[in-house]
Amino acid sequence: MRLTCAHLDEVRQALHNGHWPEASSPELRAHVAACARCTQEVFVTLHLRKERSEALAGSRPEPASLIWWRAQARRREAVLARATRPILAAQVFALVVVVAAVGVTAASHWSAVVGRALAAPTSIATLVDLWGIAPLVVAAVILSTLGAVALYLSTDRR
Amino acid sequence: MNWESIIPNVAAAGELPAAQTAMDNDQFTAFYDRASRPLWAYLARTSGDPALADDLMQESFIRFLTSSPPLDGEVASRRYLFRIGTNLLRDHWRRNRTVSIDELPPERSAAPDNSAQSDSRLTLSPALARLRPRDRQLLWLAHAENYSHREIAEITGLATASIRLLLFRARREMSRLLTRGGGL
Repeated sequence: MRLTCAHLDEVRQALHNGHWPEASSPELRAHVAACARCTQEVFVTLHLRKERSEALAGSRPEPASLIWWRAQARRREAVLARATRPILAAQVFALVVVVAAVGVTAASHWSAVVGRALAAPTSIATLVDLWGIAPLVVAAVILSTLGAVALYLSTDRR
Repeated sequence: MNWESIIPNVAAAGELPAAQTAMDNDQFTAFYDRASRPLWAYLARTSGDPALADDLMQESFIRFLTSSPPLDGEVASRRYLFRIGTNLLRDHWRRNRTVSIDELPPERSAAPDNSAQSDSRLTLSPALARLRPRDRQLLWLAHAENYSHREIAEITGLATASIRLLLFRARREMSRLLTRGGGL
């Protein structure tokens, strides 16, 4: 069988416009009867159009207003997610800054701490004596930042 | 001060302007009334599962509204909608199976004929049920929806050049099944 036929467009047009077979010319009908390709086109198209009519009758779409409302709700969620993304980024940035500050401070005092630790047993009092209250403040900041990030992430997932 | 005043875009999203959504509520309602049934018919007859078609149709319209649909008329919008539906259907098949849609055997993609779906309006004809999903898609778009090869390529993501041959094979197979089963 050939892939196409010179009368195929004419046959398709007749099928599409609902002219087949009654409103089609006798010549076209005679051609379809003799052409395997066009017969197949008519056969399959009529069957699928019938299927389509039955399916259209069986469909029960939800109200448009409900779809519209759901789309708006999803759009709001997307906008909210986009808007809160910078907040998370800021929190992560703050955490990185704090960790870096602690690292720099620790590195600059490392030799003194090690020397003292070797000379005398390490205790909270020794560390406070060495660095003052700064490490405790930094530790509190880290803990509160981590807590905020953890709280945010858990809320975001829900 | 509440969070909506801090993030004004979120508060404003409740009443999105038409420019952002491409359609206002009334336009969408009119479009939905005309396009929902053909889309459902396509999804139901291609998947063989009316419940799945319900879900995918709803999701298709939601994605249509939340994305940037074409602004050049209803024909293009409807084509875009069919494309979304086709992609969702493909994703559904991919999620459930490791083979591609081309390799899916017909009986695995058509829903079982249980009592809830035994209504003749909701079940596939025997000839259609025996075709592979890809063939059902192509035949439906070409013969039931009257799309051109170029439009089918746009909807399915296949190459335009291959549509003619794929359709020829699918049509031949369906014709054979109809002849054997007395489908008309």
